[in-house]
Amino acid sequence: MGNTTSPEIIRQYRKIEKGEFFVVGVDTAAGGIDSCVAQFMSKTNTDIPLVYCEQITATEMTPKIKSMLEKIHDMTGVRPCVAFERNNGGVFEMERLGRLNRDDKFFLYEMFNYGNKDSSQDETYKIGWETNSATRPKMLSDLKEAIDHQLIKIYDRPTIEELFSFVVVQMKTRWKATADVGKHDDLVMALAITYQLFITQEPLGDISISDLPEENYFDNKGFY
Amino acid sequence: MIKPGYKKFIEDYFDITNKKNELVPFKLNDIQDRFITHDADDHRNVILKARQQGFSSLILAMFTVDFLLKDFSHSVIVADTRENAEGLLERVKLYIESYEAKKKFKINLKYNTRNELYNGDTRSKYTVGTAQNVQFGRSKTITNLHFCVGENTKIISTNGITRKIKDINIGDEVISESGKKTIVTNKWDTGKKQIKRIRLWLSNETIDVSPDHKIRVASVGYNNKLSDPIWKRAKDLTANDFVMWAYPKTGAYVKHLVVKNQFSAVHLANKKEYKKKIDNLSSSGLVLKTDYKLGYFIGYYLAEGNITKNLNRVSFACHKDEIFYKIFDDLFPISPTVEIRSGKSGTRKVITYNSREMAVFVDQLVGRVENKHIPDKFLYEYPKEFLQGMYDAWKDGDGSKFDYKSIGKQKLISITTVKESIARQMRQVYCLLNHKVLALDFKENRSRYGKKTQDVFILREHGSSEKKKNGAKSYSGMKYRYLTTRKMTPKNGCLFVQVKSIDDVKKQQTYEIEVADKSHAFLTVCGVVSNSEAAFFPDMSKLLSSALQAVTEDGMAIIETTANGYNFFRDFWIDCKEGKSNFKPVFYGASQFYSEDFLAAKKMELKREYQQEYPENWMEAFLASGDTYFKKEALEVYLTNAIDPIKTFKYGQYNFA
Repeated sequence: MGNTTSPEIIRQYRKIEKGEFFVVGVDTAAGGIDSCVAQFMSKTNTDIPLVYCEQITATEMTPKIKSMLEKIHDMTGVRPCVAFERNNGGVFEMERLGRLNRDDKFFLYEMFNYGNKDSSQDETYKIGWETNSATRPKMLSDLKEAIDHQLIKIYDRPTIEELFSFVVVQMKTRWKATADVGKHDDLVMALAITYQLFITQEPLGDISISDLPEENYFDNKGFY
Repeated sequence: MIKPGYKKFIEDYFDITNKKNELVPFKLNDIQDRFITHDADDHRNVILKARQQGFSSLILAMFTVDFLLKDFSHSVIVADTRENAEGLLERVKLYIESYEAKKKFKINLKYNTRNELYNGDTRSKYTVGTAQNVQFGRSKTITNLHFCVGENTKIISTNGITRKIKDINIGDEVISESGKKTIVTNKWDTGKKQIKRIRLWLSNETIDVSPDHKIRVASVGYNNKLSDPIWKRAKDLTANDFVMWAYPKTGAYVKHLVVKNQFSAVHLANKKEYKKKIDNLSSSGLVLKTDYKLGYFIGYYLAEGNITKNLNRVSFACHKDEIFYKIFDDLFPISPTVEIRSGKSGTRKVITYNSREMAVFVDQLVGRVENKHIPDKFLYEYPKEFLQGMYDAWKDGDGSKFDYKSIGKQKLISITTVKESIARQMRQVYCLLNHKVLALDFKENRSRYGKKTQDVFILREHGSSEKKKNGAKSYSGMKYRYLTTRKMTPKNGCLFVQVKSIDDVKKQQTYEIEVADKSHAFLTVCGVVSNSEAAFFPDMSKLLSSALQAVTEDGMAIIETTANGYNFFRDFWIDCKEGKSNFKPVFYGASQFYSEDFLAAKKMELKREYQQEYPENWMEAFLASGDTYFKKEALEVYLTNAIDPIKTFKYGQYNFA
């Protein structure tokens, strides 16, 4: 990935329009030669006009992502949805990002606890995207379907190059999709997270009193 | 674009050999024409290509034009092997000869060697060499430079008869990937490098290789079947990989051996009944069939036999109860003397054949005392029944049932010998006969009964067949440590042994060797290894920058390569693509040159390596380990539609438009 280390950390491929809803998937890095990557996808136009890629740690990245999300809100008038990968300290950065969101210009993705069938239990969510042995095949196969059928538009050449070098390798008992030897998968994994947001998230409107559940604001004696 | 004069000159004066080895006029093919007339930069080009598109021929021809016409030009071709480099200069000589024939005059070639040409008229030089022997000094001036790399890979590491690589000489015989014999054709020192130490199951021996060395491996898939073998670098090796183990396949050419008559000795062949025994063959000696019985005799000699110094008798010393010699009792027309001797080491049975002819025969075949060995020809030329007899006898003589307490009360057959070459050759014989790998351990500083003994090699035999035969039970933990791929059979096959450990060790002196076999791979104590292009060119970036210093500004530098996985050229190529280098990247996909039918056939032949060898785009060319996960056709559409950013930002600049 040649331009990971270049000073140009954000690549913009078209103008941002008013009313666009953005979903943002972020692949966090542990440092070293890994890169933090964010793919900014427009659900309205089904394309990826912005890509952020920088060789820093997740901690350093959070304020930068916050600034970008706020800028997007200012330009589109719609609050973007963001999900960090929970690995490599991403979960703590998500919480930090939530605390930094004082102006409520974006909202955090809440991941549904897949596989919970007990209806007596409350539905549980966790913020950010957790990549594990259960979710990895799902996120990659969803992305594969989208790419193979060209359901989304990708302009970013480094991302396409990484998609090319994402290969199937035979392990001891199964096949695994992974980056080729000596290559990175940051842009692909960020894209896979973004695509999960794309298929599950809808824009949130501005909150008004009427949007809120009645029981939170009224008791038997009326408004409190 | 390169000056149009080159094309005209080449097509007017040069001849080339076609694929049928016929001399034909050099007419540029479509790709060559497109390169020279449209795509090439005047001075710096890097060409990434599929196999055999004819770029080497074209570049050599262009440089030859300079050599013939341009005063004081110096063209340099750097190839990856000496053989390739010399082959390239041969092509140049062919161009010059065809030019001379058409112009009807002789070029004044002052030097005309395998590495260099000197044109006395223009005072131009044409040099070829490998990265090791071409010295690029700043004092030299080069007009044209051509790096031709990646066509062949070279071989590194020790051989099956375990001489350290530093002791291997040119001309030594080693075993190739296919199990055939091949010879070392070149060797050189590649300096000190960080080392990976690899150990396989079924042996306590290790090999040391640099992290970039390629090793022939397969991985386990469904039903414990192995994938097709691929090349993997040592640094990418895991404990799930199985390293290829190559072994010879006998041609069974030798049907008979002759115990020759010796001067002043009793002739074994004199007895009439022995003359009749062998298919009407007559000879000046006793003719013996290379069957199980003769094999057994030789094997038993290797285990227990001895020949007197004056070559007068062959004797076998064994346990007092052993009667194995009766198996080959009727092989010779003489009966042995059998006696029981008691000595310091206990009571032994000694079986002696008093025959000079027999002693000479055995000595010439497998040697005596320190020189006892199994010649290579046994494995490549002798019938399997002979080898089976030899292995069985050797096991009967030197083997013992062994309680393996650490894994319960299970037993196995262990065969101990102090002779390394016999242990290794017997291991290969066992592979050849059973398509299985024996475990082989080297024990140093061994002591028995409180006394230090010689270093020994111990072969261990596991498995159900041995259980039936000798009462030894198989050790279940062993059964999946070696496997064979679905497509490999005992006939064509190789075995694969699982990796046990990979460790980093201190820097060591490393060497490269080159062998004559086309597979460019050969057997070490830990399986089949090869090296990589990156390892072959010791420090490619340094070499290239040094060479480019010597190229004049108006000269031409062309790097031509078929990519092969992740290496220095990938980074260099990307730098060129991103404009960080003044080289112009030129890529031609396989389908631009080859027909669909040809590519379909190649795809069937090369399977997963097809994309590397015949890529459609440069990203495929650099793939090292598998098929693309996403649909290739879709990615190509994405790549075609990819655009340059309308804006790029540094941190703090968020003026999204």
